[in-house]
Amino acid sequence: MIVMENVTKVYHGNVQAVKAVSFTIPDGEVCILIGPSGCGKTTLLKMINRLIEPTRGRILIDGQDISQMNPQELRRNIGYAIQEIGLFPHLTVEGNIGIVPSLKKYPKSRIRQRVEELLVLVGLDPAEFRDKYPNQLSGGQRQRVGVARALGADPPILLMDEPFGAIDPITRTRLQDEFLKIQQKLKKTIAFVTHDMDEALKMGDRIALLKEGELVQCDTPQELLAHPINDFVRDFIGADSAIKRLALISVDEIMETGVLTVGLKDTIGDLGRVVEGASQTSVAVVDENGLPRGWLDLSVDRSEDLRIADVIRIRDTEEIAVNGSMRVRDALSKMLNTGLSRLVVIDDQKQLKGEITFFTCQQILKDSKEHL
Amino acid sequence: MSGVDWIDLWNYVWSNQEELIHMVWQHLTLVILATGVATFGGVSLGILITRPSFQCLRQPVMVPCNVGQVVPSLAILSLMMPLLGIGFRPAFFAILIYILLPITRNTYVGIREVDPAAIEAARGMGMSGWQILTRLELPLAGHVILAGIRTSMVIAVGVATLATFIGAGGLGDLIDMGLSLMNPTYLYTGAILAALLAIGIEIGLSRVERHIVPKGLSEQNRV
Repeated sequence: MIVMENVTKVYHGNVQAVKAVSFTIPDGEVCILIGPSGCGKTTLLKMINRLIEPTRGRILIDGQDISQMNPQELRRNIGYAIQEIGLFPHLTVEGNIGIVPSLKKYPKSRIRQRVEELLVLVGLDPAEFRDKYPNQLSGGQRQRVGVARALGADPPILLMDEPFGAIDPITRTRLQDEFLKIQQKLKKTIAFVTHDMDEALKMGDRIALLKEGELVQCDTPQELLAHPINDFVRDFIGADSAIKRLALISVDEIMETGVLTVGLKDTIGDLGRVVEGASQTSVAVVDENGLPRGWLDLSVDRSEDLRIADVIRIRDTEEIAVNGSMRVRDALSKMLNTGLSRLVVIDDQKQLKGEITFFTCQQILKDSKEHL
Repeated sequence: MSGVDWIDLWNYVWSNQEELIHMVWQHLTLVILATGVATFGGVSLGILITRPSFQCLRQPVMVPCNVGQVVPSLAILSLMMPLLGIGFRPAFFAILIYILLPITRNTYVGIREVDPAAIEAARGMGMSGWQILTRLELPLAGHVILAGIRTSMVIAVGVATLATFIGAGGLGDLIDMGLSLMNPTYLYTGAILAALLAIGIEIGLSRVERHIVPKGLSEQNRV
């Protein structure tokens, strides 16, 4: 646990970069430090590993005042990853990842093993990458090595200063997703600086919004979006806070379950059995493998006993379905792109789990608007 | 002075081997000692002025170094005479002053060119100032520093030929003698040997330099 108590940094006698900031990062949480440039977020981060010393106030890690610790010892137990990465160009990937373990005098065999584990963890094949030099890697690969290096000696705390800031959007999204997966496994206590609200909402368990050195609001992403304490927070979140909120909710959480299904090979005559007593106006149609292939409107003419395959438009599952782990925002944009007012929700085996409708999304947007 | 008779010259070299070797040795001693001390001093100074806490020394170190380099070498040699008399000592100091700059400057530039992000990451990972210097800055700056030493040594060979005028011996003696006696054999023998010495040092040290460029920095490694 990291506790900041009235942390203040004054430069040149009068410039207050950080003003009496107090907050706590509980164990295993990702705390985002965000704000416009010059708000003191990087200064605050660097005070946690004493690259910058606070002018006043205390920082406690697990109850211990860090100003009483040896700064080098302290830093070797805190992973550090920065936007510019700063890999050592004369060392191989293995040499770079092994820096902190070798500073901590781990035996060679253990370093080697650790490097291998970490490369696998960040998604790089050890056999291929271990002996490469940084100038042989792409930007995304370098940042993966940077993250692996920060995790080198398995520190309980990680400090990350815009680690994905200089990477193209596609790779960035992938690295963010992978990082979240890694964090789920490792449960590190992380302070993460960014200026990108979308990244903050995606990565953070808690977001500390700073302005001109002051802590304006520190809350969970949901709280921050639902209850911004002032206009600055509202402005910083942006006008699309409602849509951003949809990015915090997974499809699983709001989907409607109990969707009725008929098989593609069934006939209209079979319908009565399925929909008896139900209030739905349509049913989902699945093929012989259980993959959703479309919908059948129940107002269909039931006088002829046609095969269902002949009366509906059969579609690809990919086209009409979203995975339950997807964000509602992504589901909504899929609806807008395909022109469908609802999508079926599937699990990893592509089996039908439920349904999400445009109406539900709208309802959530309306709810969040009422909060604002 | 008439043209050189190469057979005469060869005969002269053949029959005066011992004396010539002595002269080359004198010359080399001057060059190697001066370069050795200048390397120690220049690298130390270069490291010192790249330390953040000694930034204030940058100007006071670099300016005299630059001035020293601008003054003609013969003038520095002559200036040494009233201070240190004649012989080896004034020549040694004159060369030292003359070649301190390239080594100091290259050390400074080589270290300054190390990616600040790598240094920041090194500090953030808990490396001490000494570890950053020995594990990051010097390995990366090494070939630039060596380039400075190579340039200095070649310059030193040249300046050392002038050391004859303050009685420090070396190949300059031979050249000077050739000039005053109008003897092309002496003149050419001295000049050629001095040139060979300079070329040999240049080639030898370039080889070493190529060897110590860190693998991760070489061009053919790049994607």
